[in-house]
Amino acid sequence: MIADPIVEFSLFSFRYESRKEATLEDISLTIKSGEKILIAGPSGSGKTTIGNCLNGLIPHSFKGVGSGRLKVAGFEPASTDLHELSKSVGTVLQDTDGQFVGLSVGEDIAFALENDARPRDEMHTAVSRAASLVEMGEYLNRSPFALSGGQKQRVSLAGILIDDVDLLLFDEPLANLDPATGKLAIELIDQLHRETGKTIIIIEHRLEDVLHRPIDRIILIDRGKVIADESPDSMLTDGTLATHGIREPLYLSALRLAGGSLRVEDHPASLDSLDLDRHRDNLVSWFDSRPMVAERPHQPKLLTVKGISYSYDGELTTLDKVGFSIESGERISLLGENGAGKSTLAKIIMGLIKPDEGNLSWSGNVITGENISERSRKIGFVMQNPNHMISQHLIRDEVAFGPRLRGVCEADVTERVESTLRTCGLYPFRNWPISALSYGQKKRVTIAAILIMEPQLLIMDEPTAGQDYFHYTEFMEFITKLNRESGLTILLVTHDLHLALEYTERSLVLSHGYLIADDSVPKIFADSELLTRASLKPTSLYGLARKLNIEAVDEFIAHFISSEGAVRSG
Amino acid sequence: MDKSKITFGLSYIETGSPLHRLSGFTKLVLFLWWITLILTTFDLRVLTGFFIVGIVLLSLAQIPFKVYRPFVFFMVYIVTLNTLFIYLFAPLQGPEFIGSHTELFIFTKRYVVTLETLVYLAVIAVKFLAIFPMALLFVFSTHPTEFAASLNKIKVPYPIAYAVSLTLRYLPEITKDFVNILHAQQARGVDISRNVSLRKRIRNIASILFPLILSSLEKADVITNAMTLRGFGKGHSRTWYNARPMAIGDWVVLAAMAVWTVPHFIIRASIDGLFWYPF
Amino acid sequence: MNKFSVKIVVLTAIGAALYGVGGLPIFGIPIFAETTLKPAMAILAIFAGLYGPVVGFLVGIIGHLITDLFAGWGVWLTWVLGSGIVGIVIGLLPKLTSNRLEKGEFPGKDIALFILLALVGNIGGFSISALLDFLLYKEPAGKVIAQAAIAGSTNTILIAIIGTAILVMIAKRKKASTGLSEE
Repeated sequence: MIADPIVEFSLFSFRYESRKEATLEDISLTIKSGEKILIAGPSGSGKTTIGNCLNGLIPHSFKGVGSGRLKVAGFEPASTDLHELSKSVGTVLQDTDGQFVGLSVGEDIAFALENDARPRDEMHTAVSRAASLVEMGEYLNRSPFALSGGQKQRVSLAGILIDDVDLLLFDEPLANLDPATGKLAIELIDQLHRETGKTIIIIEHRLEDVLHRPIDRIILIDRGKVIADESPDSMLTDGTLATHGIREPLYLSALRLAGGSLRVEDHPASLDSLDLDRHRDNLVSWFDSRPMVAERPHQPKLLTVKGISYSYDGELTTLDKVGFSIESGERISLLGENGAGKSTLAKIIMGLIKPDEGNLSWSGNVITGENISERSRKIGFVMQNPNHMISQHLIRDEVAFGPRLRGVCEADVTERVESTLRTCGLYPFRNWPISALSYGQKKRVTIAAILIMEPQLLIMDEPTAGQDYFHYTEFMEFITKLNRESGLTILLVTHDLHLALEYTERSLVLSHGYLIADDSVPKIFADSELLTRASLKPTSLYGLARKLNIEAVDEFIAHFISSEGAVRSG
Repeated sequence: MDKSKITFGLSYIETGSPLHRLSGFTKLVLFLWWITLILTTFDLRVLTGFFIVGIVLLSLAQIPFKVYRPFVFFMVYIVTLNTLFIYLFAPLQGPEFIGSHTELFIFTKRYVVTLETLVYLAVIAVKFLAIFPMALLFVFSTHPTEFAASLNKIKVPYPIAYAVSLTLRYLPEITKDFVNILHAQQARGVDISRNVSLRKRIRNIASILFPLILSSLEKADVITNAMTLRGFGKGHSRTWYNARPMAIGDWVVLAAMAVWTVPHFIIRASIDGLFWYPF
Repeated sequence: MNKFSVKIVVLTAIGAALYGVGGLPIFGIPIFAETTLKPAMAILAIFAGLYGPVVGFLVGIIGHLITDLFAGWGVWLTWVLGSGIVGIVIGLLPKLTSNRLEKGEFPGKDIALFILLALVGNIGGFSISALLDFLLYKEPAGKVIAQAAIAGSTNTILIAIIGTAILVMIAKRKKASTGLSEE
């Protein structure tokens, strides 16, 4: 059966009013009705702009100059009323909180119908039908504050399914979800696709997670152009993805590290479909050739946390008798699903909140009673969103802010600012306004603003959130360099297991306020039962090792990390 | 209060009481009627009546007392303070309004306590106190979006009514951002406590408000796009999923209000001057 | 209703939430009776100064109501209205300066006007609150005038310092960054 095209771009270009250069250039592509498509590309590639063209935000909300032709579901978005278009194209935005405007699940799902001024009874029937499609039927009276990120996303999905749209557009659906929840989201999208036959377009750079369920085609976008438009199997066999800042699945990286090369017939799109026959021997001998890894020599203890308990309301326990210690110069990850207590623990270490029980010591001295200001001379804290930290106009002033507050004299401030900016690669931009920087550069500014205070321990909350693989790698290599060269101790608070795997040596795993593991990274990642208990998703390396019948999964993972690290840092 | 342990005490609590089953429209009209009548009377008997009826209605809503206990104490404290200030500022305001002077005792030449003063201060205090149970009742028993629907029903344009609902929706998130930004800046040495001079404190507050406002404006862009994509604002009117249809109970309450309004103003007109004073 | 209005609805809500939360006593310093030194006043001034009288009025009213409800000190309607009036008056700024701030310009004379509007708005707004307290509650004139004077003057000072500082930074941000080069 030859389906009708639902999306047709022909020689389509677009430039935002505020930009000098075009964001999309001569895009030509066709998507057929009922297809399931992934649009991938690094940050700034133009993939989100494509999404905004499909749902009509361009040109109705974002002004700019376009040329060429675009047809979506039979409409030309530029000359169609946005509301009419929204009856055919439903968009699930990346920000699950921004899209959830209602004060209850039912109300949010009904939002589009309310705006259509439909009668109340009709809305109630339609809402319960749409809610059951996304398995949220029992939560209709829940408020958004009592929902997880994944549940909010389901509600958003129901809110667009309530209009019988033809095309479902997902803009970075995984960005705000922890890996286990992201996996469920991908399964739900797939289920909807199979049951309703609607066209699905997913815009995402987390390739491996999207490929958890089959998709028809990957359209790779970079610098505003279509780079490739192929089936996943064929896209994964060459190195195109990596050169455009998209990370290939870990199991394929392992295959390549072992010296293998891929063909379409290997079905590399998912670990389940992957035919290992040609690669088995290769991988096994690569694994057998692993060198003995020397254990990291112990260093003096920097921070010791003992029996920390905390509760926000005196009823629900957020942290329960958590204890561990961090050695000087270590790189540690604090893992756990959203709401496991990670941020609370970080805040207690920072001295922002006082623990109900337990104490902290620093190089052997108890510091539980020290205030934030004393604590901040030892420990630096970098928040997830750089926009939450930046309070000055110029980069130079932002970095100088901390020392100035402490009354350092202006001559010393200038000197320290310049040397810190050099370390962070920001010196050429020192006189720029921060608003002219990219997200990743802003993130660097916030790090510089903390490093200038010379902390010994740097805590970073989800340091790589919102960055594509290229910027992510660049940023984390920079952090690693700081660790190696100045002995800075690093604590990453994250639910990104890849990050923990590659950039930390030891992991602490929190689950519902309990510390359920404190061990080396390979050991933790080889324990799938433990990860499941913490609602974390085991990486595909685990699956690969199992498929190869390798018993020592932790050693397999450790060998991968060290080989990959060697390649990455050249 | 420990800044890290902020909890919101006043929000909708479902108890299924008869008052919860009333339509939001009825409760909004009741609330507005209640305030209007209280503000237009200076009759201690009537005000006390309202106060008592308010307490009874609040207890009918079956909200556990412990939920609002701290608020009651705080409110009583503030009202007491306010009353005290009034007395300190104008110790003879009562006798002046009522037109007689019945001295009870004398602190100093300026601070004399008269029976009229006591009645006058009681009127003001009870005015504030009588509004309070109804405000609590309204907040506890009306779902916020039903509130928005009711505002729309009393002819507040729907964009404004919806803005109220959106405010409540994003309040917890804004609070979280506020606390997070405060923490991030404190960790960099920004001090807004009494340890630093007032001038520094004010400047430091600016360094917290700036990122807060900027990130909130970014949030506003996302929400605007989401609402635009789902058709908000296209029509001249909209309907409300959570609007509750009027039932018999609603008409009973509305009728009761209408019935009381007449004697209320008769009593108001029957007394000499503004204040009821029998002595 | 067009797209512009959707944005106005959202800005109102976000502004009101900020003003409402920022007005809570934990973020302020109590000074006199039910009057607190509210740094949040600067938030109201910024939203009004950026988005005009309608947003200013609504942010003032809704935000102040929220502060009153969540702080638990009762609802002081006359003062809620006062906040709304402050919002309207400062909201005249965009019109009077032909939207210069939106284009990234906030010259000295506009700053002076902003502070003047803050002063007029506060005097006007809280005088009306005081008048209503006097009429509806029969509170003594001296007491309500003192309250209005203290609230008005401290608010104006706060707006003049914090509000101006933040608007200057916002203006700088709005100004397109041209001619940047690495040094």
